[in-house]
Amino acid sequence: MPNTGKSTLFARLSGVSARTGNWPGMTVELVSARLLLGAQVVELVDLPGLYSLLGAGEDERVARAFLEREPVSVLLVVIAAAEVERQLPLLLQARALGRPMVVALNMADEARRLGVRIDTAALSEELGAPVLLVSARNGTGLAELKRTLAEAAARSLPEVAGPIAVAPIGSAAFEAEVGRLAERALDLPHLMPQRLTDRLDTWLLHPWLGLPLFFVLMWLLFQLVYGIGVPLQDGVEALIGAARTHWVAPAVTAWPAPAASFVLEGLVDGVGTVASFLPIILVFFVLMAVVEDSGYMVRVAVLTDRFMARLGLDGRAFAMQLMGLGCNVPALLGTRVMRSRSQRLLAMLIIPFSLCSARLQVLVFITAVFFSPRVAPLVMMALYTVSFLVAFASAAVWKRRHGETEPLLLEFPPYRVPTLRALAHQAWTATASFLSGAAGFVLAGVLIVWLLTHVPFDAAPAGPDTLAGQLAHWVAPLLAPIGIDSSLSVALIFGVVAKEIVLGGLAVIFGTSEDGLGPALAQTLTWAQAASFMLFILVYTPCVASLAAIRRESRSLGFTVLAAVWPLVAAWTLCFAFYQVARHFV
Amino acid sequence: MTLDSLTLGATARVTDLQGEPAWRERLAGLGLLPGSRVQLMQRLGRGGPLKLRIGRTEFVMRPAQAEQILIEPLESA
Repeated sequence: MPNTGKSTLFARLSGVSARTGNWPGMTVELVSARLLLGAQVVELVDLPGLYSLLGAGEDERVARAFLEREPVSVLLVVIAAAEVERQLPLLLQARALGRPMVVALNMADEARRLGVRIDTAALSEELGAPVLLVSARNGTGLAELKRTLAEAAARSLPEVAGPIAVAPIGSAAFEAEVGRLAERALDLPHLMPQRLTDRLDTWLLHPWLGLPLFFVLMWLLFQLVYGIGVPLQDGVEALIGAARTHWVAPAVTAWPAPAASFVLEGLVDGVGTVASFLPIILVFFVLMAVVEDSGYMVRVAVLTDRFMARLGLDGRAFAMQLMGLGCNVPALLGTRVMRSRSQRLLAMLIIPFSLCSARLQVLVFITAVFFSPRVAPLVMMALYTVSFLVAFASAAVWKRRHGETEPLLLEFPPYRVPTLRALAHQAWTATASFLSGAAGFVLAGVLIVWLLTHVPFDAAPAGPDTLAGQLAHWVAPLLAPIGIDSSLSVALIFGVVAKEIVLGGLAVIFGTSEDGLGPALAQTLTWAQAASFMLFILVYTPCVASLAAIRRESRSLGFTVLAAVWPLVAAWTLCFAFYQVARHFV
Repeated sequence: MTLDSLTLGATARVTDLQGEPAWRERLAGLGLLPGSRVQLMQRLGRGGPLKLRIGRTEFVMRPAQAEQILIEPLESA
């Protein structure tokens, strides 16, 4: 069942050994963990939450496919103790599968507070399976749950449940049995205590105030991510810089020049830039876990649902797009909250258009060179607006292919205070899985850009004789109509590795320090060219770290190519339209 | 009458569900079956999603889907 604290319980049982894995025939990754139960090692798989074994949602399909194909020795069914009455039909369906089952009634503390009393012995007798009250959040009842699971697993051999043929939840037989079970084992309070949740929802979901409150909360979250993450990022950068100067540079001085240059300017600089994202990613995941575990994420989806539905998305995609304003990478990984693959892909296609802090740095620099202090804020505002418009337009263009038509039906969990342990676990799993997936891709990207700008080795780095210079020469006819000359296009190649090295790249190309770059640019470019260059930087191909995240999350090379090429096409079209008009006003 | 036209805060009894079997099954999973009592908790703007409650469960659906759920309003007890 969704929203029953299943993930928290899973985290509690599995400790830190969880990993995501691909299962044959599954469209989503399932998290699993090996754990020692009694005398044997078992694999615990976290299936998506479902309301019914016959449901048509993506989650239900995945869970059903798993049960029909994979051998299972024991089913651990997690339901919310407070909602046990409504969830009884699912238990009856699970029992009908014929596999050994253990029932965990989670969030027992909440049920007790609400006055829900459950006779577990009677329920266990009726279901023919052990029934335990647990609280994954507090850790109560977990030792006994493990013991019960161990006993059940020891008695049963893994077996495939086979094709699922159970009665639908609303069937008359189930209804009668649910009534009888509830009569015998449940003692439910007559009136619901007025919960804090209702009062919070009145404000947080208010027709007029809900959205402004959401923006304020997102802004605070954003401030926190960067308030905590950026100093940490600076620290990591300083560490890598120190290691570069004191260890790596002395170690490679005796090497042949190309090899030393590759290690220093290719490996250390490239990988170092990407590694410096890690603190922000980690902080982001901790805060996102707070938003999700607290129950607010579901409400955001509802708040922005009407607008996003027209784009084939829902409000969760919108929340991620806002987070992308800081750094696209964690926002891309954040799309994991979406179970529907097509919706995730569409979200991953539009998130890279969010004007991230790396691009912001380049755009602020160029804006300051070409526009007066009075106009500059307007230019920046226009760039932010363009970033959202391009994202929405892209969603509109691609929604037919990747859009979602499933009707919205979201269960609202009561607001909860997440525990530190659960947060740390979630943040760590997400970050570790990003690292393991992205490392190879980042290395390859760094190698390619280094080769492009350094081969042949006797030419000046990034000069016209290098491969990058020649490439810039070839694409010149394409970039001329949008006002970008060949020296700038080399910088754009740097920008594919990481947008923040565009400035450093330009400095190398113009043969100045970064301080002298402003005057040099002002001399060579018209404002229309500069503005077109900024638009291009804003929209074009995402950085290597983002592409690595997209590759890893989509597990599709074709989609990754689309995510790299589509922004390029969009950027060119936009800049062409802009420059062909603007150049007449220079 | 259909669920989308229920007055705010009122409770109704579900009389019939229309739509695809798979969709009805999802609703059933939430406890929304013929005979169950459903309360309209909140309306998120004109034409916006509806927040509903059945027993201890709260959920949200769009008015277009609520239109497929037939109800008979109950006197508030």
